[in-house]
Amino acid sequence: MILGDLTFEEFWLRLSGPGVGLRIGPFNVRVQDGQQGLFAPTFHFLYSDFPLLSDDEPAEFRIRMRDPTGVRRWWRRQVQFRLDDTDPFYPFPASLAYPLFEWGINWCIYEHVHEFFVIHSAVIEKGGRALLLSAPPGSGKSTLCAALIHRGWRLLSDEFALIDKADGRIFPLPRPVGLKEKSISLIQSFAPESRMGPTFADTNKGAVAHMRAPGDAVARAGESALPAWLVFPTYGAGAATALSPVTKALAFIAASDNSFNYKILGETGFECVSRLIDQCECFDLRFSDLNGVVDALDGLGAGRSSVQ
Amino acid sequence: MPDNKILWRVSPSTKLMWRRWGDEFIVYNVASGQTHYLNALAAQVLQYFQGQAATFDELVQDVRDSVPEGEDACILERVRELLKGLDYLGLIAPVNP
Amino acid sequence: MNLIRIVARNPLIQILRSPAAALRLNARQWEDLLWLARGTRLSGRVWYLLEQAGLADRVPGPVRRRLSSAFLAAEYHRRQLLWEVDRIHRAFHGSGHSFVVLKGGAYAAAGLRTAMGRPTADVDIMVPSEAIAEAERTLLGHGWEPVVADAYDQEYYRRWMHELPPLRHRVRETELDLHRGILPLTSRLRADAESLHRMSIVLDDRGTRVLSPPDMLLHCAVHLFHDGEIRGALRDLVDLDALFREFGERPGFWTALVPRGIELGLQRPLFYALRYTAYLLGTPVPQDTLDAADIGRPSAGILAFMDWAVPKALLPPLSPGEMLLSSGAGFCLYIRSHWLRMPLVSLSKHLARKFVRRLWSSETGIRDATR
Repeated sequence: MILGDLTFEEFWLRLSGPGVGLRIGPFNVRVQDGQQGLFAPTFHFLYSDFPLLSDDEPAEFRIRMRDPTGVRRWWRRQVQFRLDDTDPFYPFPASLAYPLFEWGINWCIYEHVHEFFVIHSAVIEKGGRALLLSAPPGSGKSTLCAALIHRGWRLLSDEFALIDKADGRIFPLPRPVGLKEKSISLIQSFAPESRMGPTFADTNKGAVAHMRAPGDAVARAGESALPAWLVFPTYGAGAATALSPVTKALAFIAASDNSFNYKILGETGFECVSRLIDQCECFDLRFSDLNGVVDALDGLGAGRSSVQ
Repeated sequence: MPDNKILWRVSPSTKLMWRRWGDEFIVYNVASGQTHYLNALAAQVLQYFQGQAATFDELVQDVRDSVPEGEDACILERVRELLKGLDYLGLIAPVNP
Repeated sequence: MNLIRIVARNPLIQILRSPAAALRLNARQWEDLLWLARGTRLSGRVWYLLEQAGLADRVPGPVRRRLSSAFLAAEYHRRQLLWEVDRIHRAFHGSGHSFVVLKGGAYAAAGLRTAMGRPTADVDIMVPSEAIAEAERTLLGHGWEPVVADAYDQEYYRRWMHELPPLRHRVRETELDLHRGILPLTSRLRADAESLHRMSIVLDDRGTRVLSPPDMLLHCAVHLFHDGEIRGALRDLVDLDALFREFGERPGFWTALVPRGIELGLQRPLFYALRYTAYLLGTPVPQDTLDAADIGRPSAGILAFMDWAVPKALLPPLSPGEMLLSSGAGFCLYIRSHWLRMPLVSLSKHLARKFVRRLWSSETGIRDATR
């Protein structure tokens, strides 16, 4: 049963009561409260395709989007992201509950997930082979990802590569794709068929909106893929699209730098990065134009790499 | 500055994991949890100390032997800095008297 | 306090008392366990206990993922602890300083089962009193620096406590506390630091020292029952329980324990340690030892207070109402432990400062959501 099978009323009742349990990629998540602003309808819209947990499945992240108690309760309402009984972040204005939720989920993953080797990376797949777009926040990888998944690539993740520690396979974590500022309209015109949640202005990263994950990506959330390409994208205004190989040593350093739990995993972390570098062709990608990128990466997918 | 009588080495209990691509080396020190990028000279010196305990003078001699004629002008200084660096990173340590 | 009621509602305590309790938990209780364990920083320890009991594959997938991940993080911290000890050796190389590693660093260095699943990497070492200034200087010359604290805190540490203000390593960002002994100078209790040094054990040919088993245990008891905040220190009780169980297997440990406690003047904390680990966590303690430890029993009034307050303060709250009660009990115990530490006249001024500061910050380290 998926979330979309519930009426909005049923969904609202669960949210304000025992919580809504969802399977998001490999994780069981339960969400409660969330009566602030547009949180509930946005969540219902963006997670419609996601499977509901059954009653005997425990959630591993139990999240409450709650009103923090305090003086500001009745005017300028606030919302706080709560995992268990800790509040890892300052409260937000209530209207920004939904973006806070998504950032909070990110935090849960990079703080608590060590059953995988985790890299800050978007992951897309074509023909059974995965392409990683690995870069720190603000580099445009979510925009690239949002574009490419409307040009024949399957979405595995827009934020985290979940890499199996034993064989390097990447496990999907399809989620709403977070887009900022100009990227929002850019993707809307690049892919008019994409379905966008509301735009939240005034976050401290500017305007933020979330694109619904394609239904196919969510349905195939159980299908892992072996990595074949590791790409480090950098946006440069006006830059011509250029895909150039990087040395393996540099790729090693960049990949481990972009990892959240490289250090925690110790020897295993070293082996995971080693294996990833061995399995992948590694490239720098300079870009400014989405169509150029699509062509360049399609070339990779078809076995034509742009150098040597 | 290293007292020339000090014996240095990679401690026998230290486990290092190496990857190499051409003249670029990545080394992981399991005990410290740190990863290091080394050039060819640094890798050579580290491997030397994995093989034996030695003084600074012995190390310099070994490096000089492997460096082509004419390229050894600043060897002393470079090796001194390397030794300091490897000690600081915890890759090598003085042998207990 | 109704132990049966506490245990029945608290899956974390159930598993700590007996890992086999895991077999009887339903989905809701597993969720409770996860958040209780996370809140008390015992997730790694719980995983270790379940694994040791051969129950790892009976744990539902989502729970197994979270607990085993927490264990991996704890293992990382354990490796970091060992590395810190290595770095301290390097800093002291050639200087003649000897040091005794305390608490978590000691458990790790000695390869104790107690070390497994512990999530902290801060190191505590004890140095002979006459050498402590020189030792601090040596460390400052090897990349450690004082944790930035205002002048009031600096004075609090130097004047009233047994330790210098903590040091933090500039690059590794790990914390190191230098101690003269295991108790503050101003405490009414005394524990002869020289005796602790004399009975300390050398672990390896680098000269890594740890306290003897009874001393290690007494230090843990003192840390919990006469030191700092008691609220939320369930993991310290878990350490005590682990040490009792591990050392309890060694011949002669139980018979030496109480006499050593008396010798160091620590019979009161030892009495509490035995009483509350046995009561809350079911630690197996020989009756002879319990009888002998009675010498540390407080007056009936104090004991009644402690019997009420300690479980309330140590056990994580399951509901907001309980949380208030827990805060109250914790507050009482916090006052008490500071009273034991400082002359009364200074107490209220210091406490007022500390609590005002705590109202405006979170112990978990609150931060900007957008990184």
